[in-house]
Amino acid sequence: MLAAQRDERGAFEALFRKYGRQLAAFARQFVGNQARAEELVQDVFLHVFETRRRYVPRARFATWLYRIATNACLSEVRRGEYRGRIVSLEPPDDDTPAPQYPDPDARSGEELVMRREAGQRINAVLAALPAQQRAALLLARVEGFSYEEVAESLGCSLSAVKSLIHRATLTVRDRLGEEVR
Amino acid sequence: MLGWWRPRCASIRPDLVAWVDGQLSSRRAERVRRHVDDCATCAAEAKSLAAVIESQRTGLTEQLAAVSPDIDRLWRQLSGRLHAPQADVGRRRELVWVWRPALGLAVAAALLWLGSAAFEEPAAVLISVGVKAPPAKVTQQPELFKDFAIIQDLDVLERFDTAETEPPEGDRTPPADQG
Repeated sequence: MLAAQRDERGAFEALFRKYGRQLAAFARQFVGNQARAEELVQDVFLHVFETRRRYVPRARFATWLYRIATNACLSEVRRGEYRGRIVSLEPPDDDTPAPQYPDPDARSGEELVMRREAGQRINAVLAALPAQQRAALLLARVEGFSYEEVAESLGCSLSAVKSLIHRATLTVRDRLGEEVR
Repeated sequence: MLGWWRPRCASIRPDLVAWVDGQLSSRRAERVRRHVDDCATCAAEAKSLAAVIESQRTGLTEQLAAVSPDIDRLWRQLSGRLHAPQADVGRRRELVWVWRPALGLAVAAALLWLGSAAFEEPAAVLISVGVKAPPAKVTQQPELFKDFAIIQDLDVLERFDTAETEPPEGDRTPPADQG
């Protein structure tokens, strides 16, 4: 990021290539649509580019990036377009790609189907969580953020993050039942 | 016995997820650890949570890894937006509804002004209206009557039809003979 701040050639592109994919996956959990998630990622990086001079490296770049992304995702959710959407356990009929596992040949067909169904259940349970709990859970479990980094990204206190992750973890466990045990 | 351990469990439970995640302060983590060592129920809950958290980590990571956008295409699109004359094209588009009507109004106002300038009648001729000289009091105590002239002018304008057109004191010289 510091290189991008100095407008070094290729630095910003390297940042985008490093974080773009995971950010699109993160945004997808909020907007529920691949195309909109990609647009959102572009908006986030456009914002990063425009405000790069104001970046102060007091925390990890990823924390700053996810703070922008989380704000964008939560605003999008607050706009209400996704509120009240019925969560279906059926495969989505939009342009969502089917899960691609690293080595499909290594798994039996039955196992692949089971894993795919499990993934869809997780998606459905995640989508039913309040947006802040979802964001906290994804940042902690998938991005590997510490609670402090999650608090920084969400702009809330450490105790609030502890409570968000606690409730989200228990809700996901209860709704998935034996699936994740 | 039941009454003794229940409150302790209730105070420990909200910390269990954070403890399994390794996110508690050392003092608090030690408190939870000591309780879990003594309490079989909380120990079982902690064990269950550890399994849940691990499977959430794996399941969610796998789900998110399934989303694989074409990063080259995305970069090309973003690059196009970055190198646009004004990077923030979107924001300018949002403001179209503000500047277009404003521009329209400005053009309409300009046309109206030009039209009225072309077709208006000759400018009205201003006739100076003479007023009576101020009373003696005004000249004696000018600070009390500093607005007298203005008030008198307003008064004259209000009674324009009946106002005396007598010129001021200084202008009372009889008109010179014409020819």
